Amino acid sequence: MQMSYMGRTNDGYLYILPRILVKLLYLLPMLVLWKVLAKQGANLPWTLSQLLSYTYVQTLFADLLVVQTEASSWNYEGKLVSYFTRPYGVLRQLVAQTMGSWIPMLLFFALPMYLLSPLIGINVIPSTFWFFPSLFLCVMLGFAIDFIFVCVTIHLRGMAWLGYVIRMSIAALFSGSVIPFSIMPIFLIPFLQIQPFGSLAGAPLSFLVGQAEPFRVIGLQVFWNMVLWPIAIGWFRKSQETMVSYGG
Amino acid sequence: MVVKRSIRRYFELMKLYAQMDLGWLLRDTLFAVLALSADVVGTVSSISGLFLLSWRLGGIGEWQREHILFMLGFATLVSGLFQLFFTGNNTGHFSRRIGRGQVEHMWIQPLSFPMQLMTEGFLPFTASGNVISGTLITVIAIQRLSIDVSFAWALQFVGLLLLSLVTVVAISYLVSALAFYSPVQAEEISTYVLDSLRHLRNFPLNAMPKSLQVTLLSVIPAGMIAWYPTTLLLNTSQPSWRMSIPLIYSAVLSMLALTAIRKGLRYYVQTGIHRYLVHGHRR
Repeated sequence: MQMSYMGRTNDGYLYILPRILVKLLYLLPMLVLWKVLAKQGANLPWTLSQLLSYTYVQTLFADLLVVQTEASSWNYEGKLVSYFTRPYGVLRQLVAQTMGSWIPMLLFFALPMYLLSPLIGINVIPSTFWFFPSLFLCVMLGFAIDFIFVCVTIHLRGMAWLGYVIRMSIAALFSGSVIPFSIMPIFLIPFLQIQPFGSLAGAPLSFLVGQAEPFRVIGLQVFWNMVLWPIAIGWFRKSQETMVSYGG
Repeated sequence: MVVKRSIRRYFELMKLYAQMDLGWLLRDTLFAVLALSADVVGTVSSISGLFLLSWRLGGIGEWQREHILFMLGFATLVSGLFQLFFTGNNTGHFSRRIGRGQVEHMWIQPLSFPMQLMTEGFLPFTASGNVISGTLITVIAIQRLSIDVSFAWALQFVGLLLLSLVTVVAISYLVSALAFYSPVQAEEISTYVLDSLRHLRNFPLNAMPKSLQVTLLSVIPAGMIAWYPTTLLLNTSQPSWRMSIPLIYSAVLSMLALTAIRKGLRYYVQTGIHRYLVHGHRR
């Protein structure tokens, strides 16, 4: 984790700035959009305060809410092969490396923004304790889904960008990380809530704003973790035999 | 004479890249179709969130859902053209080539830099997904809005589309120049910036406060990619001088990008980029 953190900051902390700017550029119009919609009297199922909290916390903890390891691109670049030469499980190394890579943004973006939130009138305190187990299950599931996509990439013969595009597209729409499910067209909501990506960002964030039923949401998160982790581990074990790496 | 020869060479090379792209499509059809679909899924997903929201609410700000659909169709077409002309060999993500030390490969080609960059990215078959989906979305929006498509309007549409494409390419090259100075950290900077623009360009700015509108139409050109051209196309009674703004904006941005790349190249020839290990993998 420490190596990964240092890898992100080796060239100086200044290089974190573009990522912070990108996050702010994402956040600002979304916050304004909710305010505009509330002002125009749109028939929204949630209050303005809930929508602002949802988007704000989503931006702060985006890395955790939809986990993305470097494994797919490292497979393409040839870096992943070196992980097999270390006396430690590859998946465990990937988990540690990914968690380490979160630290700079958590320290230099999420923490200051979290402390700043009362000043801009956004509530970031979870409405219920269930937020925390839900976030834990969300991160766990995020890793499982990521490892499954790593296997997809391996079978796509190293077309990492193809796997990346498909995966990010699905995650953007189906994880609830951009627009809360409750604000989507009504006929789509049941499907969005039940599919595996719905147990990622949308689940803890719904607890954050007090809009989730604990039994149903946590139950679904546990269910998808129990289904997808064995698939991820089993498929990775099989796929690593077919891994081909040239270096990009 | 030289210009004529360059133009002829340009089309010869475009034909060559088109043939190679067709060759890939025919040789490896499954993967080529997957790549094509991934582009469509990516763009459709990026516009779906806002469209579904506007669908649920009937519109956002002054714009009805059909206006938003038109803007999203226009944005998809811009993405489509970018992918069509600048996907191959990362010509649209130049920071990757700089960061990976691949600019060195360009020095040994018997072609000028601009000629290489304008032709190498052409993938008319496997990168056409978004042009097709963007066209479909735009046609549906035009029908629902009952727009009277005259020759002049169509010309205006195509012109604005090309200017938006120039804006996207210029911003990509402008930020890519940073990779000359910090190849590892800035290798993916064009991807970060273009991804951010892809998100920001979908907002109907007429619903936003003036300060945000000005920012997204100047320092951050997201509004110039789809929203501003859409306002010009949907409200044809606007003063004609407003039509020249995208032209001036894209020209200024292109000049800035050109200057930054030239300056970066001068630095590059003095320092180089050493990122490859002996066994071929990147550092």
